[in-house]
Amino acid sequence: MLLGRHETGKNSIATWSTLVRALVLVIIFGCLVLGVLGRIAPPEPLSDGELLAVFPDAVRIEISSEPFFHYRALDVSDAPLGAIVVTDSVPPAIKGYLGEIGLAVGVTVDGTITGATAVRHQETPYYMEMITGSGLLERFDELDLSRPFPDIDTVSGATVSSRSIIRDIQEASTLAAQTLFGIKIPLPVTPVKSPWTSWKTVVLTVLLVLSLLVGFTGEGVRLRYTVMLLNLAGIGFVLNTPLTLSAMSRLLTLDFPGPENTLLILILLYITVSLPFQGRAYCRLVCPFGTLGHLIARLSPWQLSLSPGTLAFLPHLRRMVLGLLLFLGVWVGWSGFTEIEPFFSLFSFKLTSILWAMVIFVLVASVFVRRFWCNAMCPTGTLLLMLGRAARPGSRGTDETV
Amino acid sequence: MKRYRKLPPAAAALLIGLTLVLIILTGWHREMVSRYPVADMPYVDMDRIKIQIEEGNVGRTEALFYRKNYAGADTTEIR
Repeated sequence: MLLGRHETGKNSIATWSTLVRALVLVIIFGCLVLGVLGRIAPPEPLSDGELLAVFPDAVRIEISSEPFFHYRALDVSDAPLGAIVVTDSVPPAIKGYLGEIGLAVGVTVDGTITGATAVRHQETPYYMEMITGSGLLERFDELDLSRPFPDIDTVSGATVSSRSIIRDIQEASTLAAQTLFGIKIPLPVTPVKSPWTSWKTVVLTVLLVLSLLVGFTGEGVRLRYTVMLLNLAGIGFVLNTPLTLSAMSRLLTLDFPGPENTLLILILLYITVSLPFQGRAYCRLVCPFGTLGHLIARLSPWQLSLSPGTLAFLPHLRRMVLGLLLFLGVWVGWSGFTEIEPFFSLFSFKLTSILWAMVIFVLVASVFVRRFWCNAMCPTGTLLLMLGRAARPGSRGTDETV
Repeated sequence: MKRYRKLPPAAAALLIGLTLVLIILTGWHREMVSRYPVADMPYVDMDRIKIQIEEGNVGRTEALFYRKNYAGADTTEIR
């Protein structure tokens, strides 16, 4: 009788587990479909307020699709004053950190920029606020395109996004001035610097190659701790570029990082190489927040072990958290739910009060439960685990905890 | 091998429950911040927008949306 009830319980847990897995897979597949549909759907036209912000002298504004989509700014007698182009509606496609940034740029018939503003984007709101608050966009006001384009500095801390914005505005305004108004645009004085030669890219490359080598040498204790501490300092506090659910959800909607986003590309390359051979080596060796949790657990005298029931429940919990966040963040479109991870902007120490509460709570929990966030919640780690299992079909159950 | 004391299942449930509540609160807060930034970005000439509203060139709803999203300012002033 007892055995029978036990078997029934096991069967219902297995059914429930299968249902959760199936649901998460459906949500992930749905993200891919939504990504494809999002590319087909035309962008919404801008409101009068948005258009007037970049072309204040316009009396009437009309849409034109020849030779490319733009808005014509007209005066009282319907004579053309200039044009407004939206950067994500014209070539080339330049990506920020998390996709194309739609910037409305006003250009007069004599080739002067009247204003630029961000009208749609998927960048982290905090970083976009840093950019708009820095006055970067105002630096383009009254810029004469018939003169060489000036060297405009990027915004420190939001380098990838601000670099894309500068290039985007330059390309779109040049296109409008040349094609619509026949203005000759001189070549830029200083050649564009490649982000692949920046010190940040070099530092990250060294750290990831080191992590990869340590992963292949069997992760001896000393080597492992050395590389973990280097990654905590380098990828965490110096570069502040841990892999986040926000970046992963963009990938799931088939929005791949642009060539400017070298740091994310390098991390994705590392994962592509390490996942089939080393499983979740990213979580064990590279993730700076994982290392923080790991160090707290090592130093804590109050570590507690989890009951077998709780341990068996955690993988399902992680999958449910991942499914819920992807559903709300991608399906419903509330992207804020993909930015909940405690390491999201932790290493810049610029967190909102609620994120601070989350960070402190999770780190205190790590005092009692080893790598509490990684083993109980982390949606990015769970996604990597699922990808790892797809890449290594025989690895089931071997990489469940870190 | 180091032996650990067991974390009671009720305490584990409490930890997990509180983290889930924090996740939902954080997500909701991040979403609100992304919709309505509150940083001080006084680069938009709101007087001009007000005139545009009075002249009927810009809809009130559009102006409110604009003010909230791109000027990052308080919306009560022009309601």
